[in-house]
Amino acid sequence: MKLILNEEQQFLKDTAKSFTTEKTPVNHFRSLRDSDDHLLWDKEIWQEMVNLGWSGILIPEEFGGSNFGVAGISTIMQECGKTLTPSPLFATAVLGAFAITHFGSQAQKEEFLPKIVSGEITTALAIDESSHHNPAKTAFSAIIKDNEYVLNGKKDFCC
Amino acid sequence: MEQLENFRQEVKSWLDENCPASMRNGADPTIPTDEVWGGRKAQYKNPESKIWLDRMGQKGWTMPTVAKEYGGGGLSKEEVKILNEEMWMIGAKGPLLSFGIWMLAPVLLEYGTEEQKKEHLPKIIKGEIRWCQGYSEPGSGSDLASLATKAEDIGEHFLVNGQKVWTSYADKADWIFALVRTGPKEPKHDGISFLLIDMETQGVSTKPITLISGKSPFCETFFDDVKVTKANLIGELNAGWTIAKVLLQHEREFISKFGLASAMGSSGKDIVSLAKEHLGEENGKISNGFYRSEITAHKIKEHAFGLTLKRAGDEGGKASPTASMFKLYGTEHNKKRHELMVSVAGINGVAWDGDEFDDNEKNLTKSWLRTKGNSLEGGTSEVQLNVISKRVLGLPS
Repeated sequence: MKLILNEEQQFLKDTAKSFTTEKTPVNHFRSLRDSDDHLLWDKEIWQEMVNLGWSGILIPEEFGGSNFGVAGISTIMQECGKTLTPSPLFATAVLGAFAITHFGSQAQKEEFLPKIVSGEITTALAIDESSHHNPAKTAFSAIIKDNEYVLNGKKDFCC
Repeated sequence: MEQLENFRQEVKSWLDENCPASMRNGADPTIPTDEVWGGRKAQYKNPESKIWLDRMGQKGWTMPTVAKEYGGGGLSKEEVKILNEEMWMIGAKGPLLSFGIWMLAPVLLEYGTEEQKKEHLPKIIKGEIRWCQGYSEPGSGSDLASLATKAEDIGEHFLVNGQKVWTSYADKADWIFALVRTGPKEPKHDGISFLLIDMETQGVSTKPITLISGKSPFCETFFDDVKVTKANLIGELNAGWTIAKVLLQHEREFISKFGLASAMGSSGKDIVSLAKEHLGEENGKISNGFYRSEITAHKIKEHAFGLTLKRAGDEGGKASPTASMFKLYGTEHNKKRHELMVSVAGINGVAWDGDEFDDNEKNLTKSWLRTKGNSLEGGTSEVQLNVISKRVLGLPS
């Protein structure tokens, strides 16, 4: 990733900057934290991010994404970080989108990627099973039974 | 030698008779423990804490080398060594934590009049009076000599006006030793005096300061037209800066020891147990090569530091600017210890609240945050480096 942004990337950055400073300043994070509902993010804010096309930045155009790439989503994540913006953006638009785009079958890509772009689904990555990241020691199991995977186990700190 | 052997036997039998069961090895763990600081406002969850303090205080063994005429134990260095050994053998708890012992007493012994020594030392030794330190002010921390709390000469008394900050335990202390301005502001070092003030005097008030760890010993202390008798001036008028610096050396010596003492922080677990819990254990070893290596390196430094502190103590001598070396090292080491503990605990090391985390884990996070203050309190690490470069290494300024 070049450190100097091109015009498109700068546009993404500027948009993200005004979005996060106007709609999700640090107080937004604090009010969610202090609310009794224990909401993880504001659903309307997420919908606005989806409308801006942020959920599809890492997704190829054939599935409805904009394919602006890692540089693009990184500038948005930077601005979100500055105001501690809580959202499913990282988990869904980065982790989920990347995993399915690069490792999914064609059928899986066709089924899930457009739903990520539209904001219909959000994703979470479940790897850690304790206070430390140690994928080699995975106890969580997926056993095939009657043409299905039966899952058993526990995951911690899924994001 | 025979004399020392007799002394050892005396100490052994005295301890046997006088050290209460809850103050030694084999203490019943269900009995609540006290942090014994003494003083007029002291409260005890376990009455044996007070009994132990009173007995050791009567003997003067809370300050064993101080002369008997001032309430001390009047023991020689060899006798103190024997006393410490015998106390260690039975796991005897230290009877008294005291700023008076650690900081004020050495200064009284060096600069106080006979009257002042006889007035204050016995009460420090018996834990009857609890002291706090009035040094830093909101405008004078690292530049302590710029302090502005004023002590105006009004005949037989001084009239004190001003404010101190970061006064540890001011809300629990009976008396304060304070640096006050009795001379002009320039040159700033030449206008400072060392004054003892009773916290009960009209016009003295305190307000606690809370830190991110949720608790702290710190307070603000306010002086509003406080009348203090001139008999409470230690040393000469306007000669307080030298006394202040000597006291700081004693303070830094004692802070260094906490570099070792808080090996568990407030997590209740030592780092090896914590590592085995979070990273796993195989054949008695922590099952992570990186952390085994980090923890070992850390423990080696800790051991070397402890031995060096001991050697400095054995070599004796007065407190000196080398105390800054130990304060610097001990506090930075304690910060690294907590960084390592948080790292070992992984995600659980940054637990703030919630039922998924136990109290030890939440305390670990708070302890880690509290250690950020270690390199600030008692003179910042930068101040210690200045002292070391100027006074120990003799580097040109």
